[in-house]
Amino acid sequence: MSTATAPSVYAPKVKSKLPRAVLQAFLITMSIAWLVPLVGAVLSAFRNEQDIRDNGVISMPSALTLQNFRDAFERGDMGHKFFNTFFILVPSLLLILLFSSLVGFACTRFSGRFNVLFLVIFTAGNLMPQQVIFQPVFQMFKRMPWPDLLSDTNSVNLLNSKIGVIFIHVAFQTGFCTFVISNYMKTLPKELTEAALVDGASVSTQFWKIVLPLCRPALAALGTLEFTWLYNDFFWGSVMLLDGAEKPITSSIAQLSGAFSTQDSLVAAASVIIAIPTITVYFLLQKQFIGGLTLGANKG
Amino acid sequence: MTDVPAKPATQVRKGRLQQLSFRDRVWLKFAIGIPLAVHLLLVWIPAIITGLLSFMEWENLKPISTAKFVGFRNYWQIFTIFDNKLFPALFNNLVLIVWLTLCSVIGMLFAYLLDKNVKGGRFYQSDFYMPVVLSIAVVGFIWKAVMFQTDRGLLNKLIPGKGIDFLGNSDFVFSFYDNKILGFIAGAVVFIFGSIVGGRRFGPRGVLGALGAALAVAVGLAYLLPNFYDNKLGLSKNFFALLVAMAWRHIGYVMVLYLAGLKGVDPSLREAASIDGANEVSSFRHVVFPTLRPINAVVAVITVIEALRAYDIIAALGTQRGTEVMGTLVTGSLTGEGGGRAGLGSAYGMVLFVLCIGFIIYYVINNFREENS
Repeated sequence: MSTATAPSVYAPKVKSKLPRAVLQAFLITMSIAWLVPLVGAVLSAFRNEQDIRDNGVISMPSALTLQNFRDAFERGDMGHKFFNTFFILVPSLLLILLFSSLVGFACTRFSGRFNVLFLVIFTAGNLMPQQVIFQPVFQMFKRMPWPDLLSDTNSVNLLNSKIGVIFIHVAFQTGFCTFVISNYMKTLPKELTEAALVDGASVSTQFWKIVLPLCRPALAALGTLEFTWLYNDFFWGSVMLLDGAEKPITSSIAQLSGAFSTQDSLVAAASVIIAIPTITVYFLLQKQFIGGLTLGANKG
Repeated sequence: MTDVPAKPATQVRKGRLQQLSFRDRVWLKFAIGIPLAVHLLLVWIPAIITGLLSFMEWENLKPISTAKFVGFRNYWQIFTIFDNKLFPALFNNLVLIVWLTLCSVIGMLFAYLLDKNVKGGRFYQSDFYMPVVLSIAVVGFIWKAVMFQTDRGLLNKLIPGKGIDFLGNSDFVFSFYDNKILGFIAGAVVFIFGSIVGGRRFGPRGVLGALGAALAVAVGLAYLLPNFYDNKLGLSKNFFALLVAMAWRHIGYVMVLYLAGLKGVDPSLREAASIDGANEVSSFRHVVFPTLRPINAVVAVITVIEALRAYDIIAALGTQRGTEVMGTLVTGSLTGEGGGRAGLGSAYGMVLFVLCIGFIIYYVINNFREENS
């Protein structure tokens, strides 16, 4: 198997070129290994529980059914949970991109004494483990009065409120995006805004009309990446939203599995439903997705 | 002289704040001020508060005025007998660091192989990368339902014999209490490896050496401490099962980062190396690897921080016995049953913070060095 072919890839007798066949064999083996859990989950999702129990996960299904999806969707209250997730995700994403481009713009296009310090604060803050800050944020939200008018629930504070989670995401993810977008903005030629400055354009015009449109590739890449990160968030959704009805989609699977622990087909169907949005985004926007990751790693 | 006309030009290059109108200056202040305020309020100030709380005793359901200063008592408690949870969790995080580092190397290997313009390269890339877009909590459940299930999971079908309860079994794969010699050897090997590698080969000198030394100290502690606290440390079987699921996701992530880095390797250099008769291994070592140094630094930090932050997959599967890590320990000590002692929870949090901060500083220095000079 894979372990048998691996050493021969680097066998010393091979000169400058690897034998293609060995390489292909290795990659095919590994890619099959990589696909197995996913294919298994999809297959299980379409079969009924008894069939899997009798024949095992990888076997010819006796019949295909959509019942698991219906059950998972209903019992996991997934429609509602999807709404929660997107209620948090869309404003967070927009604010994160806006905030990080504003900071990136102000710190890279204008000379200020603390520009580097600001960027350092954002970059370092992004790497902070969430668990370290969770307790004070929790207490802050619990004690901070919040006007009813701006609240999505009937609570009088930000705890158990999706708006609170939006704040957290914005604060946290702006760090990473600022780092990436400021690196990108540094590569834009200075002459662009200089000309605008000479023409008497205000700073806000420079931002909205010149710099932001030029940052579209970076914003698309970051937007795609942040979409999956925010969508996949499990920690904040589960510790800040105490009420089950408020929780995001990622928590519904834990809830289902707790209630129906023996029903693997149901859990598999729920996994597949949860995975659909991010997998779709990934296949549609693969270039942007990978661009987002590598923009962060390559220092602009 | 030539620098006379050049001087005003450099002044205009970056917009000077003084040249701007009052309105523009206010606009810029808000552009930085609002995001910075949100970020400081919800990230840095809470981190400082956690630091302060770790020196206090406070039931977090009572008003904050009931908190009282107790010095290092919380730290003393978690490091000694209190509930014997710190060292097993730290040990699991340590195992995660080593494991994910291994996965990063495999990710680099995958990237290197895919960079050879193999047929179907795009398919392989998408395939290896797909798990990365899944929520790590969902990854846990997929592996649980498809691979680990006791009676029909795929791994149990492949491995003959009675079904193995992969996720429920907290017996140790190996432990340092039973096998002190193993602990000693592991410590020595890690230390020697760490110092050789750190001193000689990789990235900014000494980083891996320091990591190696830290590992050696930790392994040393793991070897010594059970004698004091009668606390068995080891890798439990169910945590190992989770490690496999995490590898599935981490390898693809690292692979993509390295693939981007490999695009930056000058092909003519490789050609020159192969004409000079360099074989695969030595051309990788002397031509490809040196150009990957900036990526190595990023991957090293990402790997360690991910390992220290690990939470989702463990908590989603219910934090089984033997799978506790620092992330679940901090959260659990503040929320779940027996939680509410904010001081102790914060002390756990600060241990995690101290472990991370070195790597965060390293990452920041690495990225902002040029700007400062």
